[in-house]
Amino acid sequence: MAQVHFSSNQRRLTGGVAQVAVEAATVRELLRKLEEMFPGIRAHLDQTSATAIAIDGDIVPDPIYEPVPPDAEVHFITPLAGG
Amino acid sequence: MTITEQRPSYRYVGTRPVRHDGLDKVVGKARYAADLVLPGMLYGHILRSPHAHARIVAIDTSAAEAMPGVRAIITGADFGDLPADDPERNMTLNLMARDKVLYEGHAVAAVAAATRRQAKDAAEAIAVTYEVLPHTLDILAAMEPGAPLLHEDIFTTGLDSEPTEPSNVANRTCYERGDIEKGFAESDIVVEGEFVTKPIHQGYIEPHACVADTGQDGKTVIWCSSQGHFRVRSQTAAMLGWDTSRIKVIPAEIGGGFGGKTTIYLEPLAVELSARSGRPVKMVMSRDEVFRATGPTPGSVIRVKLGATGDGRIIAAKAWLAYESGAFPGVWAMLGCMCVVAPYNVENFVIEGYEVVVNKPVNAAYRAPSAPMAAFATDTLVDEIAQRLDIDPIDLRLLNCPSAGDQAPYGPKWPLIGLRECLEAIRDSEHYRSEPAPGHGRGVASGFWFNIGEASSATVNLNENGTATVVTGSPDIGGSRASMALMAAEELGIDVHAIQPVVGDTEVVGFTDVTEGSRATFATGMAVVEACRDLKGQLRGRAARMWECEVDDVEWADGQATHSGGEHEPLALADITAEAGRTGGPLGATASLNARGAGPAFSVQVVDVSVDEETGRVTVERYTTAQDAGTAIHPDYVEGQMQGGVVQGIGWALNEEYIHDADGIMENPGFLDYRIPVASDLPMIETIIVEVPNPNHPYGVRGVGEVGIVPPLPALANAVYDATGSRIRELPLSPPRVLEAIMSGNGDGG
Repeated sequence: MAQVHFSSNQRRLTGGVAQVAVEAATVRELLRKLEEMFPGIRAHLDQTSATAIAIDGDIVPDPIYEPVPPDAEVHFITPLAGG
Repeated sequence: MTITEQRPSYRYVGTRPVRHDGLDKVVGKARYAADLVLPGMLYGHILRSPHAHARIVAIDTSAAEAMPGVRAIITGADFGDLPADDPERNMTLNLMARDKVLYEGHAVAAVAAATRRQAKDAAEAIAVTYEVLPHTLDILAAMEPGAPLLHEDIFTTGLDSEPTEPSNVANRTCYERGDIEKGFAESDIVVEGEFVTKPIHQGYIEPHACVADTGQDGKTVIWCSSQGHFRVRSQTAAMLGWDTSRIKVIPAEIGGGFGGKTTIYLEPLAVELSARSGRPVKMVMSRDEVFRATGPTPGSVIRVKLGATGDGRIIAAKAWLAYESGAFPGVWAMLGCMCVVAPYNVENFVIEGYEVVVNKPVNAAYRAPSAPMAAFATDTLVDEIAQRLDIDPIDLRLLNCPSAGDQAPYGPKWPLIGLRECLEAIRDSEHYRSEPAPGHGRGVASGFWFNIGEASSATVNLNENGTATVVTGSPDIGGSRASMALMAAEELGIDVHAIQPVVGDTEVVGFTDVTEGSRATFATGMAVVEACRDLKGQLRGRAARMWECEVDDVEWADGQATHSGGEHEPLALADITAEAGRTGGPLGATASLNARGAGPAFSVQVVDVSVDEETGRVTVERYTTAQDAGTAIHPDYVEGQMQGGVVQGIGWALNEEYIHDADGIMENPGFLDYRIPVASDLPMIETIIVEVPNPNHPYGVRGVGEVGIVPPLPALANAVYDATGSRIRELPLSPPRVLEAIMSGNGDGG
């Protein structure tokens, strides 16, 4: 199962949970399951623009269809900009 | 100088050929957007707000419409409004004010006329009635309850409880790890300070410029200076409510961008004026407009507290960051939070960031956006720790240096990174091993930037004479044409000057994201390599036809096909392309991809300065920068990027700042009063290219365009401290500020 890590901001919506294991084939499924576990978290992620995801350290800017490997380490982060 | 960590040797990659576009640029033949003249072309001019914050009560264009040469006038009333959650809405409201102006310079109306003078005169004849509103310029004041509000619909996100009142604080970001109280309790030394930076401009030499020609068929062609013509297309479409298929964007040469040309300011206005007048319309900003109306980088207030053990391990960090975004929110504080302690392994930290809108121009990206201000705070305090513990500042950084597998402060584990190698490169450099001259001060600092991947496309066509054309969608802002040609040369095994690299318009090459985030050589280069590898497969197939053998019997190496059984003489690429018409037709390949696995970038720098104690003027005497490039495809342009980043950082540290009067009017909108460094101000910037190849790129590229600007801010501040004994925590380190610090005996602690 993928290990999903939450930043301090996100922990407000997880009741303080910093890490959770989720079985999901794609990021879309992952988000759906997270929303079931922590209602409102998906809206929060959209609202704060924190929709980029780091999967095993690889930052994916628009990840909805991205596969999630079985033991992946997942972090939600700010989409990166550059100059 | 290049320090390489175990990478293959290449035939073309890593060499220094003359760039393909070099001659045209040197002799003045290169065509920039402002050079274009079309038959019947009109000139556009924008009327801008004279107020920092005001409600637009009425706009009367009747007098202007009657003036000679005037063909079209547009105002905010001519554009629709996007839904509140549309990510491009703020961009469109910045392009042309609607009910309110939010900063001095905000566009209010635009005119197209037969001459520049007529357009300007007519714009000035437009009568705008304003209701002037209270404004807010100071980042801390703007955060206070009761501050003049820019937007009634901004409610701070990321707070512990949902706010009920609107605010100028758009969002709060927080990262935490470990036990911060325990970390400070166990620290033998604690240092802290508040650091202040002002907005500064990207300072590209070429002002924004475009020509739009809208036809009776409802389609338009735009020639413009930008870092990404596909984004010009999509943003123009969003502003106008058009389908993107009606818009063709042709990239002109670009005279600098540095992040400031990743968004648009003129193009939809030119298109609309062209549509209304039935003529092509050119719009070129003045330098004054560039300063007043295009994106500077944010000003900031950053408070950092660090705790370390007596042997120099940094075990606690607390950071509070506030970034001003200008008139609309951005992501600057979030990025600053992610960068502020990135070059250090810290077990316990709390990082908290706030994004604040103020009545100033909307901020845009600038090389490694948000990282330099964060580094200014952290790396100044790291220098203080080194000084107090009497530890060499490079050794202190090596002691706290993250490496692959360590957890980055923003969450994921670090991939393979080259910070340690950069630190060692500076430590071992002749510059660092030599003593500073008597009276000179020395400072060191490190810096981090993510680098990004994103979407890129490339098409490679082989010509009948064995040459190749490489078409990409990445505007060349730093020598990327040469890098694309070198990677194609390496793949195909033909001379780099047998390859013509071309930047294609939006109708001749596949979608490509903006040239930003140090991504062009990494991501677009990856697409070029992929297309070339496709071509090599095709070439083997053509050779097999010519030899009447199986394709598996054909190998491709060093630019020629060889038969595995040795039954045929090798065929050079030109031998095969000459027969292409008889073996299946033209040879070409296209690759489009989302590049993944961008390699993070680090830079470490050392600077020696002298300080005139009578005037406070800081002179940069010697400067050396080491940066992990992954692999330097064209070392000249890697060094150029490293030097350019350093020089812009020097300007930021020593001279540059937006100065506004009490009414919010910019007082220094020109290069006479806004002082950027020129060649005569500077020594040669010495470079050490460190190569720790990125395993996710076929040639190990990381991208080099941005991180070089991060360390100069703290490096200069540390050097000035070393020279004067004054810790100055506010930039720029301009003569008055340095002199005041010297006269008072200290800047602020230290």
